[in-house]
Amino acid sequence: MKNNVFKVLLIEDNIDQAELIIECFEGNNTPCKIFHVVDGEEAINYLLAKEEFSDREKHPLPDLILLDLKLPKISGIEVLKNIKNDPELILIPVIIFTSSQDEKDLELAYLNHANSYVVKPLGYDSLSNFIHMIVGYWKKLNTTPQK
Amino acid sequence: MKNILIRITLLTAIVITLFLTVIFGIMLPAFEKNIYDQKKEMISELTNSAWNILAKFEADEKKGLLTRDQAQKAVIAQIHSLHYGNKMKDYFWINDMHPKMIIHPYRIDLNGKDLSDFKDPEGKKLFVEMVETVKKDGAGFVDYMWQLREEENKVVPKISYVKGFAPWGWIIGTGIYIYDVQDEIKRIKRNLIQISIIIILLSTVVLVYLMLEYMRTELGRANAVEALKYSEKKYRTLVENNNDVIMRLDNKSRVLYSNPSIEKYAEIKAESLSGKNLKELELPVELRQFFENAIKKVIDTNQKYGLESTMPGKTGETVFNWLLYPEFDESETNTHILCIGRDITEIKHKEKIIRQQVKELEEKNAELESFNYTVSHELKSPIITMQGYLGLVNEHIKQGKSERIVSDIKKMENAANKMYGLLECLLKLSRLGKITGLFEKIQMKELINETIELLNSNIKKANIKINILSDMPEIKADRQRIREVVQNLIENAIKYIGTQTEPEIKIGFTKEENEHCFYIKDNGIGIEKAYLEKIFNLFEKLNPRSDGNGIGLAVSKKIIDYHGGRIWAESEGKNKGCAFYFTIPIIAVEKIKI
Repeated sequence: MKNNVFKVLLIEDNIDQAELIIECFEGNNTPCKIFHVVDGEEAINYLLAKEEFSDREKHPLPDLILLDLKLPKISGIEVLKNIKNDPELILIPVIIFTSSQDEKDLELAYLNHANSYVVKPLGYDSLSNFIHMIVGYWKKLNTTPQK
Repeated sequence: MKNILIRITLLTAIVITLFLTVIFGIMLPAFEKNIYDQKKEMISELTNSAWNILAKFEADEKKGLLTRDQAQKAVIAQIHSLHYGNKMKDYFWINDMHPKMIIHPYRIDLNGKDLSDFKDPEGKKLFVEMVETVKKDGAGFVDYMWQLREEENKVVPKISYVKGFAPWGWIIGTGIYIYDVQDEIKRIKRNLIQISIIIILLSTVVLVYLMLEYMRTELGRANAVEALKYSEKKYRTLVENNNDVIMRLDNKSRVLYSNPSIEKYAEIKAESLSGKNLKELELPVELRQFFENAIKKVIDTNQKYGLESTMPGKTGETVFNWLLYPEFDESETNTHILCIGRDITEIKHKEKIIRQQVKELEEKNAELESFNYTVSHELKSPIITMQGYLGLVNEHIKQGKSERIVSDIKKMENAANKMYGLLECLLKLSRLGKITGLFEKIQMKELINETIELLNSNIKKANIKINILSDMPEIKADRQRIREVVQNLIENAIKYIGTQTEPEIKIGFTKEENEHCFYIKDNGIGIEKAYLEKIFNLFEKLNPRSDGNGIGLAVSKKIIDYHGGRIWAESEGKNKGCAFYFTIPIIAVEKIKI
C-alpha cells in the first residue's frame, strides 16, 4: 500500500480552488491520484459507486477524503455522516477542509467523527505546504487498517 | 345612651331615697321607741330592785330584828347613797302617799316636806299624780319636768317609774331624763347620718365610676360600630367598583354574592344571582364542569386554586383568570369560596402578539446569523482562490512555465469578478430591506412582455418557444421588484432548459380566493425533489459549474415575502422540467412592510 499511488477524493465545489489543490498534489514528489467531485450528491454517488461512478476501476475508493463543508445539494456534514455510518467507508480518514473557522462547524465535524479539521490556508505556498504535509502524514507516517 | 345614664342616676336616687326613708322614717323612730322602751324597762327594773331593799328591811322589822323606825332609817340611808348611771349620778327617791318627801338625794330641801302642792314649771302636780298612779295600778310611769340631776337651774322633761310600798305607805321611784335619751338618739342619728353620708358618697363614687366605665365602653362600642360601618362601606365600595368579577359561593356551589362586574360580561343582573346554584346559571357545560371541579378541589385541599377559562359573553370570547380561595369559619371549616375572575383577554392577546413577535425576531436573528455565516464563507472563497493562484503565478514564473501564467491570471480575474458580483448582490439584498416603494397597479401582461423582450436574444439562441396566457390580471405591487422576480424566473428557465429538442416556457396564472398565483413552467433539466426548497437559500447553487452566484431566487423570495405572497418550485425530478409559482395577494396593503 505504502508504495502504491495515494488516492485522494477531493470534494470541493469551487472549481478553481479544486484545480489549485490538484496542482499542489501533482507538484508533490509522492505519486498521488486525485478524484474530484463538486457537490455532496456526487461525493456520495462516488463513494457508493452509483450512477456515473459505478465503475470501481475508474473510480476506486480513496485512501483519504478531503471534504469541504459548504457544498451544493448535500452539505459536507451530511456527507461525513454518510461516510461514518457506512461500514464500507468508515475506515477512510476524512479531513474537513474548509474556510469556516466557526466553532459550531468544528464541533459538529468532530462529533460526526471527522478524523481531522483544517482551515483552508491562504496563499499557494501554504496550500502546497499543507498538501505536502497531509500526504507525508497520511501516506507515510500514519497507519490505517487494511481491508 | 343619655337615657340609660338618666335611668341609672334616677334609679340610684330612688335607691338612696328609699334607703334614707327606711333609715330615718322607719328604722330610726323604731330605734327611738326601742330606746325609750329599754330605758323605761330599765327604770322599772331598777325601781323593783330598790323596792326589794324596802321589802328586806320591812321583813327584818316583822321578824323583830329592827324597829320600824330603825328599818326606815336604814332604808333612807341606803337609798340616799344608791346611785347608778354613766357617772353614777342617777338616783332613787322615796315619798309617801300623802305625798310627803321621805328622801331625795339632790333635793334635800324637800325632804320631810309636804308635796301636795308641788308643781313643775308647767304646773303639773307630779307627786299627786304619782300617788294616784300607785293607788290605781300599784306602779307606773309618770312624766313631768324636773331639774337635771344635781343641776338646780336646768329643768328638763323627765319620765319616772314609781312603785308603791304598801306596808309603809311609801312610793319609791327613779326616772330618766328625756333629754338624755334624746341626746343619745341625737348621737345615734348623727352617727347614722354620718354613715349614710359615707354610704351615699361611696355609692355615688361607685356609681360615677360605673357610669364612667359604662360610658367608656359604650363610647368604645359606638366607635367600633362606626368603624365597622365605615370599614364595611369601604370594602363594599372596593368590591363593587372592582373590575374583576368577584363572587362568593357557599360550599354547595350556591352564589351568595356577585359584584356588578359580571354584568359587563353576561346578560345578568348581579343581584339576581344571589341564592342561585351554579347549576341554574346559563353557563356552557364545560365551563360549569370546570368550575365545579375547581370548587371541589378547593374544598378537598383547603387551598386556593387558580384556573383559566374562556367564556362566551356580551363582548365576545373572554378569557378569565379565576382564583378560588377557601373561606374558613372559627372552627377552621371551609364554609365559603371566594371566586375572583380577572379579564385577561387583552393580556392574552398581547401575549400572543409578543410571542409571535419574539418568534419572528428569533427567526430573523437565526436568518441573520446564517446570512452572516454564509456571506463570510462565500466572500472568503474567492480570496482564497486569488491568493492561491497568485502564488501559483510566482511558481510558474520560477519554473519558466510562462504558458500557464495566462490561465492563472484568468482564474484570478474570475475570482475577482465573482467577488465583485457577490458584493453587488449583497448591496442589492440590503437595499431590498430598506426601500419602501409604493405599490402601484401593474398590468402583468405588459410586464411579462417587456421582460421577454429584454431576454429575447437568449431565448432566440436557445430556440425556446414562449407561451403566455392571453389574459393576464392586473395586480397591486412594487413594479420594479416584481419585474426582478419575473425576470429572474424566466432567466432561470432559459438557463436550465437543457438539451431539449422542443424547449418551451409557459407563463400564466390562476385566480385563487385571495390571491393571484403566477407560474413559469419549463420542460428543462428539472430539479430533484430533495432540493426544491434549498434552492431559495442564499448562495445556494445546485450546479457549481454553472455561472450565476446563487442569489437570484433568494432575492425573489424576499421580494415575494414583502408582498405577503409565497414562492415555491415544483418538479417531478431530473430532466422532467420545472415550474416556479409565486402568489400576490389580491387585497394588497398600501405600502411595503419593512
